[in-house]
Amino acid sequence: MNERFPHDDRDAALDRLLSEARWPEPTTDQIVRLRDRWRKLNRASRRRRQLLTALAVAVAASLLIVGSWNSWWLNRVPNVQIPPARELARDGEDERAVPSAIAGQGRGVGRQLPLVREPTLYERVVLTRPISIRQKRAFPTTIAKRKSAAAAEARANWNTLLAEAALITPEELARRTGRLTTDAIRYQQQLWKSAQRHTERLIVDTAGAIRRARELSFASYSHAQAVESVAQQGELQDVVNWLVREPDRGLRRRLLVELVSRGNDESVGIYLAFVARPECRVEALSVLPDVDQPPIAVIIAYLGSSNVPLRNAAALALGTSSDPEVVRALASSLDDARLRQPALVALLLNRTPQAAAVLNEAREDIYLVASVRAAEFELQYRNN
Amino acid sequence: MADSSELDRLVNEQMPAALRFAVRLTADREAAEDLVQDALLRVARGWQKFRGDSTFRTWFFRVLINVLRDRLRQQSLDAASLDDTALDLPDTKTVEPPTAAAASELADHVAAEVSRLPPRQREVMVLVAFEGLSIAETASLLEITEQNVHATLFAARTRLKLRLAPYLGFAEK
Repeated sequence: MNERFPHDDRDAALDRLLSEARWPEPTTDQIVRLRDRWRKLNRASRRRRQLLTALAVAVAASLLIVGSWNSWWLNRVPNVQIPPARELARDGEDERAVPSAIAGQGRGVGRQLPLVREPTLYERVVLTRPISIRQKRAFPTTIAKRKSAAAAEARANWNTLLAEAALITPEELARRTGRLTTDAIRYQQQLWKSAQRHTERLIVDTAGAIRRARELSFASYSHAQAVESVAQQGELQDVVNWLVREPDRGLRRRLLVELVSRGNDESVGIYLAFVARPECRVEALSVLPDVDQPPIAVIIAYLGSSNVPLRNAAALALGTSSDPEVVRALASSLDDARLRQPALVALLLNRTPQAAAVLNEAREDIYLVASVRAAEFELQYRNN
Repeated sequence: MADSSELDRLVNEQMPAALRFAVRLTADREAAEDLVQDALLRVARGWQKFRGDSTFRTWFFRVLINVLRDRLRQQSLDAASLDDTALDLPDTKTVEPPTAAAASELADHVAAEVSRLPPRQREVMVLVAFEGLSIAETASLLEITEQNVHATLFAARTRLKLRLAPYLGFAEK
């Protein structure tokens, strides 16, 4: 104290007084009580920390599991998808800006997945829905518009290249592919996450299609010939790939005919998937008479499908056919309880005299009359 | 801070010092115990904030002082005790110097006068004069400048000199 302040006598006296100051001494009981209190507090605090740690670990583990499951689920989505409605709907219109409908190529997805069901809502939203629809319309900021435009431009460029792939030289194709890949990577950084995924898929998908197209272009001198080559020699996957992108109606018909003509379960299933889409239905049904030997047995087998849209599409396809052979096959399938009602629906749709005769006979049969009425009711309900 | 066991050891080690410090601030054993209990609660909740810049004892004292200030704020002590400038001076003419028989009570009286100082002056006085902290440590603990510590200490001593004026002569003798 003396060193810190100038002292006089009163200061020295005060220092002496202060040195004698005496407060009540804390008792041992107080110390013990406080230590006991501290022990309880510390234990509670430690327990709370342990609980929080356990909670954090549980949350992290849950996120990991959900992430793994999500990744696994995305990877198991089949690579053959029903094409978006717009692809085949417009006739003669330039469809190059319409996004791809083929998903998952080059991702190690199995190729032989039969198309016996509609894509789930989840698959459709994640993999096939066009970007322009997926983006939030209620957020029209400048950035959103710019990103949307960038995504549309990227898609348009890729689809243009795909459409022209068979017409240009391999060197030109390689040059343009390289440039577009660079562009796509650049665009990717500007896009929304959903659009980034779409672009990634587009690059992989298109690269695969271009490779096949380049091989075909050696033997073909025009796009039409390339389509013909695909129809004759390509695998089912190629036919579907080219079909969903083909802007020319005549070439699309050729590819649809090819789908039906192949006559196996998978190709007919894909064809019926086109029929199931209202936008593609008329065009798809119109090609059936062009097929030399329509796979009636396979289509009738689809009448028993558990997939309702495919089952209805099969009935529709059979119903619009004027081939007497179809009516005979439908009549014989009335014996099968599983096929009876959809076969009757097909017969009701079929306006030929032979179908009417079969139906009249069924109405007089006490074992079939109820099914006929049910089929009529179903058709009436569907039309309404 | 290494871990909670280290904290446990430090708290138990500093417990008597903290209680003594609290008694000096409040001049009341029971109130001091309450004060330390509240401080322990804060330590248990916020010991992670102790970064080791100062000693644990200093940090613990700072928590104690913060708890005391919060209590004083809640109790909204009367303006006179919070006013650092107001001086309730005794009439030196009427106060008789203590006799030798009463000298034993003088120590209690001096302690009571120190504890009656305004809060900031009391804190500075107790820390510097009785806990033996340096001016720099006190300034750091109270989060004020060293000049402020000097000024506050001077004010506290002046106040004590006035209040204990009748006894200063006795102390000299």
